[in-house]
Amino acid sequence: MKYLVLSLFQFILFTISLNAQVNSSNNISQYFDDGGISNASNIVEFNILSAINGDIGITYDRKLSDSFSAEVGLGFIAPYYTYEFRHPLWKLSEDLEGLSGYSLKIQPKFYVSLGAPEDSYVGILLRHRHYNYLSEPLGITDICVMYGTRYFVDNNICVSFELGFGYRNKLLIDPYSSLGGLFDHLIYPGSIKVGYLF
Amino acid sequence: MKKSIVILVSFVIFITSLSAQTAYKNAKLSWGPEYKWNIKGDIPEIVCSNADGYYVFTQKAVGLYGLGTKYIIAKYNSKMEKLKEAEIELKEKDNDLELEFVVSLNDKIYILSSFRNKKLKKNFLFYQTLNKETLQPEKNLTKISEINYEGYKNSNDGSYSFVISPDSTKIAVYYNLPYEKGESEKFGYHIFDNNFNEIYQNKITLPYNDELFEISSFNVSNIGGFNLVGIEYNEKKSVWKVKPTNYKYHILSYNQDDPSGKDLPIVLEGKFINDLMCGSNNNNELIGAGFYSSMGTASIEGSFYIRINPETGEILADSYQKFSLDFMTQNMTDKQKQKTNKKASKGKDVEMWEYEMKGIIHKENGGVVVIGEQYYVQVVTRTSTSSNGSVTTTTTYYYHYNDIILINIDASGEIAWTQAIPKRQVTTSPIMQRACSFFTAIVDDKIVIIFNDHPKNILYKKGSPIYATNLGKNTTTVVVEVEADGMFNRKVLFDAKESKAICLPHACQQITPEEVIIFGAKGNKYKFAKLNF
Repeated sequence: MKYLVLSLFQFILFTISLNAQVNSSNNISQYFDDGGISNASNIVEFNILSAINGDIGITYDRKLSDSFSAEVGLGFIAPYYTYEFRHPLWKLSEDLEGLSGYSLKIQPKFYVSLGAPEDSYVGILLRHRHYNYLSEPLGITDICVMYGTRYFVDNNICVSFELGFGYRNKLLIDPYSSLGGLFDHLIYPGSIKVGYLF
Repeated sequence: MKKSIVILVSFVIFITSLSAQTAYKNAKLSWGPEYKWNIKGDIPEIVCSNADGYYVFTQKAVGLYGLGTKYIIAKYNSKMEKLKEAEIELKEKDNDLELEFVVSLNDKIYILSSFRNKKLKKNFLFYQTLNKETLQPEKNLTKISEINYEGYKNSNDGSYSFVISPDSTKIAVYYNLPYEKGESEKFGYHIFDNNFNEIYQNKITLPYNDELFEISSFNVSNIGGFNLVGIEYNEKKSVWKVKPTNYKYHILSYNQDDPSGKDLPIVLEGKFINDLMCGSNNNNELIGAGFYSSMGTASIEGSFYIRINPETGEILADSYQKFSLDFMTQNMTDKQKQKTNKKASKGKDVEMWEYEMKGIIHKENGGVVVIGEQYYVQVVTRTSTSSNGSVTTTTTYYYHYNDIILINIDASGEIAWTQAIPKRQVTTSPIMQRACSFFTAIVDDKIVIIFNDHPKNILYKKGSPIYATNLGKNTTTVVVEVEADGMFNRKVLFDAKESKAICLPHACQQITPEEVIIFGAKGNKYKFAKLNF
């Protein structure tokens, strides 16, 4: 009987100690309960302005450190692509009938506030678009300095605004193209993106 | 032939005797083995030591363009042999913690790490002890502080720092609290004992606008008083101009019984205070000391001392004293000395240029020894024209680390003695700046100063020119022992070429009252040396 009481007592003590350990662990867990966003360093974004323009794509932004991130993007040039609003839409539907192509971009970003991937940043955008212009293949490469800022509207949902300026180089793939009047020029790209942090 | 042999033997004896006279013999130097090192990486820091050996913490830049950081801790035995090295893994389940600092208290190594919970908008600080065998943090995390940054951006999540009391029985962990630009700066602190039991905590809003106040240092006393030194400006820092009336030093003192603290302005009428350091003595009185000038912020004319009762704010002793002309000119060449004496005889202000306060040694009697060093950057722009007519302009920055000065002030505020140790170090390499400046240790009643020097300076006599080392081949690491009366001697500790190492003073550490660990590096290799007094 005495042995039984002693065993029971030991069992209760063991249970209490185990419970205390679990509680202690739970106590620590409360500080880390964040839905996985605190250490998340990946953002997938959709560029609304670009999509309206006819370049429908997504970008992937990866935080490299508190001051740097790198964004890469892939897009599809839709038949209604409007060459950055330089041509009237009604004319484009006639000129660019059946137009399609792709776009690629890469943009390293520097965050002065050390708050990557949130907050203001300066980035160098390198973008290439390839599509048919009046049935002739055309490559457009942009290199721009961008200033942007990103806000989190919810734990995972963010909105980014970007403006910049840079240089556009247009290259007709066919050197004997009959197209004229295509000159390199300055551009002032902008974007509004919605994104998801994970 | 016989004559030649006699001359040769005499020459050898002379050289041997000269070498014996200049070599440092008051301590035994022993080198450990060499290890690989990246000179561009962070300087290793000895975080804990005991009779069995010591532990060294290093941060290593890794990954693409060095954007990532690895935290390495290594264990060395008393022969300075590396026994084990491990990367500190900071994870709690799937969450990465950010290492804030590694600190040793009561022969234990503590890892302090933070986690920014972006959902709760809180930056939590935890401590873990380091297992000295596995060199990994123990699993039990203990939360000791939090910064609430709700309503602010994630980048405004604060940061943690620490200071340890002179007797190592208390540690203050302090942090910035978020505030908007133009508001008063806010921060909080916790005082822990040396087992990380919290004694008290406090949150402070400084009585000054952020744009008009700059904190220069923090310290904690042996009884847990928390003090900070700051500068109050009359105008915004961005438009600040050098005028004696433009800024004022303050010591702000807080403790458990007085959480709102005392603001003690430190003013020397008509003088610029160029540097102020603050600490506490064995009686837990606040001691402030520094340099002042009559001309501006680029030169110093004398030193000042202040001793305060932190509980009442009462000034127990204060004084300021101009340096003597002899002191200011003691390491000048005869020509420079003549010029300075002439200037002084005309009644013009004579000051010592470009001196920075480097440290303060608190003596048991309440006095202090203030240590300063001359430091300046010389910018030289050269223009050259090539044969084809193209013009090239190059700008070189020369970093000069010159004389060390010591001012011994007694408890009443009187200057007991001043001393200037001649030294010339110059480098154009920001990395080699790590080999500049000096290391200080206290051995018995002597101040031991170790630095890299030009070998020719070992026979330096007052008035003669002093040679500058460029920390290259012509470098000797010397020991200067400053006696209690201020007299000093300079001896060779080791030669850089023979030892295949240059001393990096900032990585050296006094681990016991009789033992100093020297960190020597050359190229991509490093080794430790032990100096036993």
